[in-house]
Amino acid sequence: MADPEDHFLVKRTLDGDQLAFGTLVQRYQGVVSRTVHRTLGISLDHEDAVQEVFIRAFNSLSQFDRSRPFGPWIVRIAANYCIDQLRRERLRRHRLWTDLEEAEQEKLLNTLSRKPEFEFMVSESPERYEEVAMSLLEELKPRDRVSFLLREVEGLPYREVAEALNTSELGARIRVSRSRKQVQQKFREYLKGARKGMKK
Amino acid sequence: MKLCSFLDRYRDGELDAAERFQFENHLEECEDCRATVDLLDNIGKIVATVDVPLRSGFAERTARMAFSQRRSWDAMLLSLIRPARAWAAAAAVFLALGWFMKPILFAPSEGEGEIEALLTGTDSEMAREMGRIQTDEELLSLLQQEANR
Repeated sequence: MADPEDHFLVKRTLDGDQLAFGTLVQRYQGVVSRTVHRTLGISLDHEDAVQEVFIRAFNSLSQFDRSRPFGPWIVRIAANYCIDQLRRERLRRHRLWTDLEEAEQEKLLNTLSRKPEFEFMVSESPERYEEVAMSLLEELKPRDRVSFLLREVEGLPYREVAEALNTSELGARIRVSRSRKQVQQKFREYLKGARKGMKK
Repeated sequence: MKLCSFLDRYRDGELDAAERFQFENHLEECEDCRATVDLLDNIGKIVATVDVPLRSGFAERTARMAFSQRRSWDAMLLSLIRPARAWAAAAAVFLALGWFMKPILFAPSEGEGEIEALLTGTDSEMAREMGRIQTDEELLSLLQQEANR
C-alpha cells in the first residue's frame, strides 16, 4: 500500500524541494543503513555507502512508480548497491573467532546452534557470536546473502524480497531456501573443522 | 524425513495448525532440524542487533549533496534534451577547424604551383608556346629552355 506522505515528498523533491528529500531520507535512513551494514559488514565508510544509496535513489526518482510504496523501492536500490559492492570486491573480514583454541571454537559453534545455551551465553561475548554469524553470511553469494537478510532478519514478505532483487516471488523463495541450507551446511563444516583441529 | 521438508514453510509461518503441531513434535526428535531452526533464530537475533548509527544531520547533508550534484546532471541532461544546439555547436567547430586547416591541408606544393602557373598562362609568351605543345617531350624542352633563360 502506497504511503500518501511518501508520495507527496517524492513529488515535492521532483519539484526541487530539498527539504522534502531530506525528510524522505530521514524516514528511510534506518532501513537503508541496516541493509547496507548487515550485508557489507562493518566498514569505515558506512555513511558514504548509505549516502551513495540515497544519491542513486535521487537520480532515478523520476522513474519511481508512484502507484507503488517507496520502502521496497529504496530497499531495492540499497540491495543492488550492496550486490555491486560484493561483486566488485569480495569483502571479507578477518575472522578473529578462528584465532580461538579449537575447543573454544567448538563451544562457540555449539552454543550458536542451541537456543537455551545461546540466550544464556550471548551476553558474555556478543562480538564473538556476531563474528561467526557474519562469517557464515559471507559464505553466501551476494544475491543470496541479501535475500536471506531481507527475509530472515528484516522479516520482509517474499513479494518485497522479490521486488528488492528484481526477481519473481518464486525466485526469492528459492534463494532464501538455498541460503538457509547453505548456512546450515557451512556451519557443519565449521564445526567439523573445529573438531578436527581438536583431534590433532 | 518427510517432515524435515516442512522447515522452510515453518520458518515462513506458512504451515497450517495441524502441520505446525506435527513439525514441532518432529523438532523434539530430529536434532538436525532443531539445530537448524535454533541456528537461524540465533543468527537472526545477532544480526538484528548489529547496527551503526548515522551521525546527526545525515539526512540534511545527503539532501544538500543530492541537490548540489543535480546541477551537473542538469547540464548533461540539457545537452541530451536539446541535441540541435549540441549539433550546431559541433558543426560550427568543425567548419571553423576546416577553414583554419584549409591552407595546410590543401596548399599546393612548390613544384605544382610553378607548373600550374605555367599551364594557366600567367606568362603570356609561355602561354602562346604552351598552346603549340603536343607531346610531353616538347613540354620538357620548353621548361628546360625557360630554366636556361
